[in-house]
Order: sequence, then structure tokens, then C-alpha cells
Amino acid sequence: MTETTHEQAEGLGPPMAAASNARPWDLTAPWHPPMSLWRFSVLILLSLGCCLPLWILRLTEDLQAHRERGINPLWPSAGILLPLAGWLVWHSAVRRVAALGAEAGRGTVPQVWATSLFGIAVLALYHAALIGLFLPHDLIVGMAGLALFVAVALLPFPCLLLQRRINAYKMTLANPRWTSQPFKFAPGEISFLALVLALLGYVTYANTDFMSRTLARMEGQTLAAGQVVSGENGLYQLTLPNDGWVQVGTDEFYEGSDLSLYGPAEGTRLFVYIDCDGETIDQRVSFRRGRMRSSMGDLAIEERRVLLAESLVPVSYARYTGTRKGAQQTFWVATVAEEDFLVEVLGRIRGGEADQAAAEAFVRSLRLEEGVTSCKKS
Amino acid sequence: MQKILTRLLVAWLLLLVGGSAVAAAKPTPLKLNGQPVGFAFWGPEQRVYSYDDVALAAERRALFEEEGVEYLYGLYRVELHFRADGDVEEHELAVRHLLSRAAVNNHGNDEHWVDAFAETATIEQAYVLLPDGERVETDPNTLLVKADNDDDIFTDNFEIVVPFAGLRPGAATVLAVRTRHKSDSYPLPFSRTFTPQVMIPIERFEMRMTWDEGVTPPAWNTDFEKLDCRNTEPRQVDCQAEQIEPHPKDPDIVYSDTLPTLVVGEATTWPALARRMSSLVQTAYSEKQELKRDLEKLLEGATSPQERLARIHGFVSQEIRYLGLEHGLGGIIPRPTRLTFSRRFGDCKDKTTLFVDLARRAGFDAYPVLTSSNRKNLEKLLIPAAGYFDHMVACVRLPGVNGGEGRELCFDLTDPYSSSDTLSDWVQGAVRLKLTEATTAPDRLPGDRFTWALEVRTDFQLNADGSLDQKRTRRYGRANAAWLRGRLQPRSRKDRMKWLREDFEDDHYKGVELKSIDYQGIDDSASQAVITSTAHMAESFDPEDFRNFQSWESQLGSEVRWFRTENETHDYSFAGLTFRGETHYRLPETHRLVHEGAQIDFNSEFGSFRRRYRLQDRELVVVTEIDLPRGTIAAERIPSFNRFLDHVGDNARITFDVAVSTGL
Repeated sequence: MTETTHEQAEGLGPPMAAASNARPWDLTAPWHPPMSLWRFSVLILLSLGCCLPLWILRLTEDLQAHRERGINPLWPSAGILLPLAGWLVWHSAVRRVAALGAEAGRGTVPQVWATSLFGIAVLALYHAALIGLFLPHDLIVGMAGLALFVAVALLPFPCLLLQRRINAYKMTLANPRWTSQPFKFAPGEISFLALVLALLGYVTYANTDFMSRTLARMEGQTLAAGQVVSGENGLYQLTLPNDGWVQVGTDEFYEGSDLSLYGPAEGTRLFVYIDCDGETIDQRVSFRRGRMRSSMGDLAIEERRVLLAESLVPVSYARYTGTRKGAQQTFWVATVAEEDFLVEVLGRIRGGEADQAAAEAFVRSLRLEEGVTSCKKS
Repeated sequence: MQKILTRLLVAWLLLLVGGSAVAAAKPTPLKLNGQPVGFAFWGPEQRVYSYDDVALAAERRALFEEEGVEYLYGLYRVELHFRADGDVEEHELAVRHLLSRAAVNNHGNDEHWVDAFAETATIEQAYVLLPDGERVETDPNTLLVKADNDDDIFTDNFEIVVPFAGLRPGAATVLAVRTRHKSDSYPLPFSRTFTPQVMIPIERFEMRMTWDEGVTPPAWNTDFEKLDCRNTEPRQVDCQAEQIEPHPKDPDIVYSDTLPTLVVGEATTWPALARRMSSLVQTAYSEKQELKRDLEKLLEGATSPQERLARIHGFVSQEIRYLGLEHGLGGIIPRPTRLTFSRRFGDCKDKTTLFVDLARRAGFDAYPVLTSSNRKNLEKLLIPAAGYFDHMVACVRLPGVNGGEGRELCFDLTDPYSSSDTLSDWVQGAVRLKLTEATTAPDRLPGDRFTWALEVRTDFQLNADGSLDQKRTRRYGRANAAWLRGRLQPRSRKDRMKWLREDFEDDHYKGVELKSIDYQGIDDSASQAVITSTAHMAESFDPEDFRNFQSWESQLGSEVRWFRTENETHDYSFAGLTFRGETHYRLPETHRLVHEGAQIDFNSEFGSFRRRYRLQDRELVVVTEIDLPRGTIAAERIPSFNRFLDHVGDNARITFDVAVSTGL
């Protein structure tokens, strides 16, 4: 039994025999045809890098077909999507392509280590973005999405460096046998591309709201604890109890809102409605209770009314807790009515106790601006 | 002979003319019911004013017209002279400008009040001056003298009404009256309160005090900053102010407590005044053996001090009817208690003195107290004077437990409706002067923390057919009880029931079927005033779609809002309100409670409003508590006060959600 290196283990490293027992390349085996660089670029970009495993698979199969067989090419193919493993696969691929050219006397990859490091850096960004997409925090997900776009935009560059060498090498082969017609998409590639595009389309469709939310969060204004926010009408103030709130466009959640904020906890939102038509607290609270019931089913409702200390205006603090399985969420609603207007602050709260307490404090921080008794319709 | 006859003729003519002149100068008595009176006279002065003398400056008139002033005082002048014989002469001159037709129609008369017992008044000038220079004299035959009597109070006060003739917009009226205050008729030191600022503009206010040599200089004081007073002569003080703006009007103010005043009177001290009045009251108490048997009978079976006091209070306040015979010294000195007891009538001081007499005999430390029906501000008692007080009540100091300080209870014996532990709301907090040896200064009568008290217990049975059965008990406390007794006591049983039914209908929707209604504690102020009722309300809710129920806490919304004030510039004196409502809702078997409604905790500087819920068996119990204590609401806080009351009223509604009971 011969000793193998990690490159062998991934199936991309040169066979040990190459170093100790130099054996000529088997140039008669069929090759995957060369791929035009623009087509390769399109594949990478459209598939958001998902074609990398296929590309590594083809590369590994080419190398293994013309040298001794290593591990199953599927392993490095899958490994390219993983941190560390993917970086080793990449480094191995760079070295093997360089070796392929050199050993065959067909030229080598320039500056192997630089190419390897460049590729590893781009892959690292790509991997980080993929991991970030699965984290729960909206903001991280948003940043991961941005990183993914950057990584996908950069991915073609290191890959094209290798592909260009591979193409150059294959074009120097005399009477090569191709597995499919050179410089054209193979039917399998087209199928793969179609599948990936369909998948991406579906993901995009399914996450439109998420993506727009993410985008909105990224465009919104991040606020700090103690900061005071107010809506377009300037009728009221809310004081942030903790960091991590992001003020977004007023209509972000619902049309007609006067203020909209994302909370620090995933799924926590706060938004404000204004009514300038003389609606009373009783009317609005009754309406809200009905709406909550229709959307959340059975509810546990607690309502308490007190007076705002400065203005002696009554304010209703209501907590609606969904009791139905699958609809267990909490809403805090503060409603205050002045002579000519009504302000309703709704906080949809998720997260742990601390998040709940902070969001409740935020809703309860509602104060009316002194001296304002009328409003313009929002 | 002819010469002699000629001389005789000349002499006769001279006598005739001279006599006529003398007759003209002598004041003519005014007439009441066609008969001349001895206290009011017509005695025109030779000196008269012309329009030019009293005309307003052109720019001032333009200003008044621009501001829409209907009428004003161009000049108000008073001269007081304290004579060596103790009498006081007062000369009052009022020049009014009536700028509009409305002013002519509404204020074409002027009037002057005179106390027939202690004063004589002479109209010296009464005419109209027109801008064209014409002067229209008042016909003395048109002067009216009106007695100031009511159904149960008769006084020596008369109103002399002067109907000015020839009035047109722009005219000025002139009325000058000379009054003699007779010291031998009035057993208390003379005092007068003038108001240099009133509700209409006064262009010029003048006041002159003079006194004869040897007379103690009169006391005087003012709280009107604009009034400039100074000693202009050794025995003369002159005060004057010009262009005095109208005092701001407000609906809920006691003008005696707010209008700036100038008080003038014979110099005295509060202790001296208390002693003097006390000595006058002292004459009314009966001899030792008198009333003894009557008192024993009255207190028969009463064991505790509270019960004994309540018996005496109940007797004097309810069985001695109010009748004020205020003629002569009867307006100042109480009648003998024995007489009041036997007559079974008397005025405030008669009843008070009888109460004090009986209470003292029963072993209580009771004493009479002078008070005022329209003064609560001690700072307005600018000098020691009796003139501030127009009423008398009684107070009792009860001994403290274990040597403690004890407590004072005060009683308005003219109020037959309040219980013995409640001082009439209209004198609570009023200024007073205790008529005791220890009195050094006036203070204020005690005031309840909550003058108005109401407890309501309501039971609703919500029936499965959508109908409702209601049983309600309203318990009236403190001044509320007196208010209710005041409404019902004077009526017959039939009229009382009619009043109760109408009151119920005011508080309920049409279609509510009143099953029964009754009252308790109306005729006896010692027991609690209660109204009970039962009613049936068909189709109160839709049993097929019954998800929410609403009702209103009995009369709370209107009761609370009744205490709103529209005052803008003056503080508001709020008497205090406490309300306890307990409403029981028994749900139909078909439904269960899913949401009970909002807890309420309204706390403010004005008081609190609280609502809580509890579910017992199938019964939702809603408890509402309102505590708004007595206090003075500063003018700048009145909008907040009103809004607080509105918020309380708005939340008189009780609402809860129900759902169909599971398993049915």
C-alpha cells in the first residue's frame, strides 16, 4: 500500500507515482471539451457559484482519466462548497493544473501560490456568505446576501485563470477525444443550468418579502438606545430602550403607517398609525381586538389604561398573546387619543424575555408632543 | 293805609316765596304703596353737572365702542364722613355712560339699597345728560321703593329704583345719594366694602374718608394695586384710580373672594368683634331651668354623645322651621332660645343659638360661629369688620380620646336635609369668626374631603333571550344625600315617585321597563338616603350574535362632567367627589367571558379613577372607584381638570367580550 497525501485524498492531488514513478500521461483517454471563458463566466454568475462542484467534477475526472485514479471525484466536487475542504480542493486544483501543463510540456499556471491564495480568499468570502444565509438574524442574512453577490462576482476571476490554462492545454492536444462537442454546452450542462436557474427563480420568488425586508433594513437608519423617534406628523415620540432598532420607510410594513421600525430580534417590528378623523380609544381598541382575533384566533388579552403623566391624556396599553398553536406571538399596542387625532403604536414581538421586555418598553415609551392637538392625515 | 297794605302784601309775597324755597329745599319722602316712608327721600341739590362735565374723552369713547362696551361708569365717587356723634355720612355719586341701544334698554334704571332700620337715604341728583347738552330730570313720582322680602325671610332692606327718562344711546345718567348711617341703631362697628373694579369699565374711581376731630381714625385697607390712597389732610384720606379695566368674568367664581376691594370701617379688632357679637348672642340664652324638661325629653334614650348631638341637631334643623324676621335688631341679635323653641321658627342665628343652648345643657362644648355664604378667601378680610359675615352656624368641640386634641363638628341649622355629620356644602370652607373668648382671628369652616358621595350597586342578569334584568341600589352620602332630600322632602309621596321615575328615565334608554322604584332615608336625615329600583330591558343584545356587551356606570358620565368649569382666569373651588360603583353581570348559560375589558388607573393631581374586574362563578364583577378630593384648581390647570373629568366620563362605559360556551 502506498502512502498518500491530502491532495490524493481529495482526488485532485498528483498521484504519488507521479513524483516517485513518473509515468507519461495517457493522452488517448477522452477529455471533457474545452469551455469558452464567457460561457464559464455565465455559468458561474447565473448559478451564483453553484456550478463550481460540477466544474471541479469535470476537472477531477479529466485528471483522473489521464492519470491514475484517485478517490471518487464526487468528494472534491462536494468539498468545494465547504470551508477548509474547499480551500484545499482549490489549492490542489491549481497545483494539478500547473503540473498538468508542466508535465505535459504544455505550459503551466503562472504564480501558482498567488492564484491559489486569490482563489481561497474568494472562496472564503463565498463560504462565509453561504453560512450567513442560514443564520437567524435578519441583519446578518442581509449582509450575507451582499457578501454572496460580491463573492459570486469575484468567483469567475480565479476560476477563469485555471480554465484558461486548461483550455490552452486541451487545444494543444493532437487528435483529442472529447466527451462532447467543444465550446458548446453539453446537454447535461444545459439541464443543470436550467435546473439551477429554476431553483434560483423559486428561491427568489419565495423570498421576495425577505429580500425586500433585508434590503429595507440595510437602507434603514440604525438607532441606538435612548434615541427618540417620531413620525412624519410630529405628534408623538417614542424612546428606544435598547440598541439594534432600524427605522425604515413608513410604509414598509403596512400602507398608511406613520413610522416603521425593525427590532433587534428576528421578527420584531414596531409601527405606528395615525388617525385624524376623531376616532376614540374605545373605537380603535375594539377594532384592533377584532382584527387580532381574526388573524390570531383565540387570544389572551390584557388591557390597562392610564394617563400620560405630562398631558393627562389616557393611553391604552394592550397585550395580545396568541394562544393557538402556530400563532403564538405577542403584540403590544399603545393607543392614545387627543382631541383631534389618535396614535396607535403596534409592536409585534418575538424573541426572549429580554427582547419582549425591551419591545414592551418601547411601545410604552409613547408620549405626545406638547401643544400639538391636530394632525395632517398620513 | 295803602302803604301798610302794600307792605303787608310784599311781606306776604316774600313769605310765600321764601316758604316755597324752604319747602323746596326740604327732602320729600319717597312713597311705598302710596305711603311716605321715613328712610328714603327726594332732595335735589342745586348743583348739577352738564354733559361736558362728565363726557368721555374722544379716544376713550372710540376705544370702548371698538371693544363693544355697552356701558360703563364714567365716575364713581364716594365720600364717607365719620361724625363725632358716631353716625357716618356717605355721599355716593355714580355717572354712567350708556353707549348702545342695548345698554339703554337693559340698564336704563339705576338703584340704591337702603337699610330702613339703620340708614336714611336721600336722592340728591338723578337725571340724564344728553350729548347735545340737554338735561332730562327724573320725575320723583316715578321713583320706586321695593321691599327685599322673600317667602321665608323679611328684612328692613329696600331698593330704591331710579327710572331715568329721555335716555338715548350715548347718554349719561347721574345719580347722587346721600346716606346717613345711624350708629345708635346698629350695635356693631360700621364697615363698608367698596369694589373699585367691577365687570364693566370704570373711568374714574374716587373715595374720600374724613372724620371729625376727636373721632378715632377709621380703619381701611385695599388689595387693589391700582388704587392710590393717601392722607391729603390731617383727617382726610383720598383714594383714586383711573381707567379701570373690567374684571374678567368667569362662571364659577365667588365675586366676594375675587374682586378687588376697598374696605373701610370703624377701627376694631377681631377679638373685640368676637366678644361684642358674643355678648349680643349671650342675651338670647334661656335661664337655667328653662328648656330643661324639653331637652330631657328630646334626649330620652340617647346614650352616646354622638346620638345626643344628632338628636339636638335633628330637632333644631328639622323641627324648627326657617323663618327670618330680620327687622330692626332682629337682623343682628338672636331671639331668646325659649321663644324660638316655642315658636318653632327662627333664622340662622335663632336656630344656632337654640342649638348651642341645648348642646351646652347636654354637656357639649358648643359655640356660635359667624360665617359668610359667599366668602372663602381669608385674605379678603382686609380689616376686622362684621360686614363680611351674613350667616351663623354652630360648632361643637368633641373631646379627644385619651387626652387627644379632639375634633370639631360644625352644623348649619338652617339646612334640614344634611345629616348631623355633614356640614352643608355651601358653607364648607367658608370664612368664619368663632364667637368665643379665645378667638383671635377668623379662620375657615372645615370642609369634607369629598362633599359629594355616591355608591351604586347594580346587578344585571343577562338572559339567553337577549333581555336584561336590572336591580340597582344607589346610596347617597354627604351633600349628595342632602341634595336628594332637598329634591324629595318637600314633595308628596305621589310627586316623589313621579320624580324618581323621571330621574330613572333620564338615566336609561327608552324602552327600559321600570318594574319598581322606591326610596329610603328621605324624611330622616339621620339615616342613609337610598334609591332602589328594578327594571327589565327587552332586546338588550342579539343572542344569536352575542360577542360583546356594553353598559354604562350609573350616571357617572354626567355626574362627573357636571363638575366641569368654564373658568378662564380665576381659580376654581372644587368641592370633592367620591364614587363607588359595583356592577355584577351574570352571564347566560350559553356564553362565557373571553375578555373582561380594560383595567383603568387614571391618577392625577386632581384625584384617581380606578376600575377592576373579578370573575366569580358565572358573574363578572366590575368595581369602579373615583376619588376626586376637595381642592382649589388653579386657573392654568382648569383645562387639564376638565379633560380629566371628560376622560373619567368617557370611561363610564363598561364593555366585555363573550363567546359561546364550549361544549354546547
